[in-house]
Amino acid sequence: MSRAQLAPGHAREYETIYILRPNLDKDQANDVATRIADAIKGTEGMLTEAEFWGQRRLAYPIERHHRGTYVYIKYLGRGETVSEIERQLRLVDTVIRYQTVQLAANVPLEGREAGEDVTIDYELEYQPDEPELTRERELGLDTPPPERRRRDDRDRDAKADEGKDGDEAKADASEGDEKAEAPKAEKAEEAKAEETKSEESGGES
Amino acid sequence: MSEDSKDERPRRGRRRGCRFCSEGEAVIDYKDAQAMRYFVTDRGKIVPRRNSGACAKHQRAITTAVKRARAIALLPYTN
Repeated sequence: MSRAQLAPGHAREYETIYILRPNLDKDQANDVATRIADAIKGTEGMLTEAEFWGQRRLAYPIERHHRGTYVYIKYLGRGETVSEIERQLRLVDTVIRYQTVQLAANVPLEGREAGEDVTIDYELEYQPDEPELTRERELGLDTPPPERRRRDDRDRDAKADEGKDGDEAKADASEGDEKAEAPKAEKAEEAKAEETKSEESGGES
Repeated sequence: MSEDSKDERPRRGRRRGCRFCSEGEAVIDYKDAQAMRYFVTDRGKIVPRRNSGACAKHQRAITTAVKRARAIALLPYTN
């Protein structure tokens, strides 16, 4: 990753992954795509590949979202191409995370004529309004009462010195609760997630 | 005598070389979330060289790959 001078007619190859908020509509998603396309064109770059990865579970919540829509793009350009793309991604609040990696330092532009017609196809496997599977709900922690019950169990188990089975049974029971509660308004879910989060942090400290 | 027995001791299940050096077997790609799970423990920590069996060069590659995967939420920072 030296910062050597770029030979004329050459470019660097980069890839950028950005994560969109889940449950966006097509227009919002395509707005980001056109911004990137303009940024690449405006800085004499060349988009070579664009892949729509679809909705994925995030390994950790970002801005309270537990799922995200991943988009992968690969392009040729110079440093200013990257800074312009990243500036645009920062401006749009539908993008919750992005990352750019340099793949190759010196790529001749001549052989690479493709790319102009590569567009990001958001319709591909786009699933709107997928319910957010939160970790809290997966563990059955989204409803305070079961959690409290569990805490009592733990105390009892510690005394009885044999609590594994009881705990697992409880976990199964709360899993059932989670399924029953799955189809609910999103706002209520988010509020709940917040609640449990604050509770958790309170318990840790 | 004792040295001989030491040499003859069978090596059980221990890989000798770095499996990333032998070509075509395994590649390190931070974008492949499923494959990246082999490089972290169930607590989300990076697997040490003594366990991963990687040479210094490829252990560095694993480390950067894990860190990149974490940054875009493909891998957790903690578990």
